[in-house]
Amino acid sequence: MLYDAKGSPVAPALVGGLGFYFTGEDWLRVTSWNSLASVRVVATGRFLTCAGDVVPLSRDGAANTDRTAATFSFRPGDGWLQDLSLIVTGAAPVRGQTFVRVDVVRGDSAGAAVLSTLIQGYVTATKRLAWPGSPIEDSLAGQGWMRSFTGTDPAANTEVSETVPTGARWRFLSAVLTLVTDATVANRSVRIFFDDGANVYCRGCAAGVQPASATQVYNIGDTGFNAVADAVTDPVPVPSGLRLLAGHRIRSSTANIQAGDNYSAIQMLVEEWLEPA
Amino acid sequence: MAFKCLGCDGVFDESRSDGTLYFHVCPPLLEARVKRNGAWLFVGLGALQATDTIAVLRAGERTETTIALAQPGDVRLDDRATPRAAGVHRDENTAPPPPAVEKTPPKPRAVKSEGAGRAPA
Repeated sequence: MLYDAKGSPVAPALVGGLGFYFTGEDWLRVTSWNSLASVRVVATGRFLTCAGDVVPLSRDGAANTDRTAATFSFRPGDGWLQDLSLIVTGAAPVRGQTFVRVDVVRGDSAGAAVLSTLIQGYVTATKRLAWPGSPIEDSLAGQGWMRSFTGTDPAANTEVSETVPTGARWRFLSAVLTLVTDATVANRSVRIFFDDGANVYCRGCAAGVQPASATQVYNIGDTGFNAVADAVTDPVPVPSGLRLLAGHRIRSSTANIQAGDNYSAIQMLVEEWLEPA
Repeated sequence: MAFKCLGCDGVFDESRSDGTLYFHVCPPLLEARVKRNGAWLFVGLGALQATDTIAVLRAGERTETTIALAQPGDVRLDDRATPRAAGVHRDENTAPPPPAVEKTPPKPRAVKSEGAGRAPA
């Protein structure tokens, strides 16, 4: 090992760059937030030891699938981190599904002190994040994951309600649902509410009403009319670009709903970002 | 795999074809306000009776009618959507960590004008 005049370790010349110095007590901690099954986060890099050897690093850990944090840590040793990169194996997430952060921490217990952050951003199976090079990115920045999914198919006389999952933020884009009315004579009026889990902050209402014994498709989005007359599709206009936090809901509220009225499962298109809780 | 929620009878797939999980949350419980035996109360839609009196919007006016005599253009008023009971409501989301709340409140801040003051409401 080489030392300078003050007794501090000095990187061997002609072997590597300055790098990021690690004492033997410093660990690399990789934290991931993820919404896709079977994702493993792989960290690879090169480390210059105080003995002058360049050794490869390679560690990996499974990511949780419920958007909660999963971590794995490793201690590179005494020396200089030359470079580090992250990639995903085991599945093929798209941007918005797997968010990772690499911290330098002192100690490996739960109370480890974070000293520095080297990498933070979305990673996929083909797009790496690297130190040095990749910017420290906010999980809410840039494009999210365009997610089309089917919600719960509610029982008869039950409204539709979908809740933004924990650890996610949505930008609502559009949704479709179908209401089949029973024979009770009354005009149903479909309204769509956005709320924060309790308090409604946005309402949309279908232009037409739906009579008894009818089937009507409702298109919820930022278009308030059908360009061409369509007897079975009714628009429900809502503001464009509504951002919904975890726990917020989009739900129906139907005037004159009857005991035998039955909604289909809602089909939604949202843009989703991970928002670590 | 499809599941049926025993709280709301909703049916959902837990694992999606795109490899993501779905976290079911029960919708609110729907109830209509009716007058039955002389008293106003909220009942589930499946328990409505033809002799129940409901408030409706008819030609822009609030009026009361029995369900049996309601007209197609009437809009039933005063429906409510309430959270299901704690033992029934299901929320499959992971519970977030509790917010960090300081045990000792911060020092009162100086306001521009105290005016007549304030009291707990």
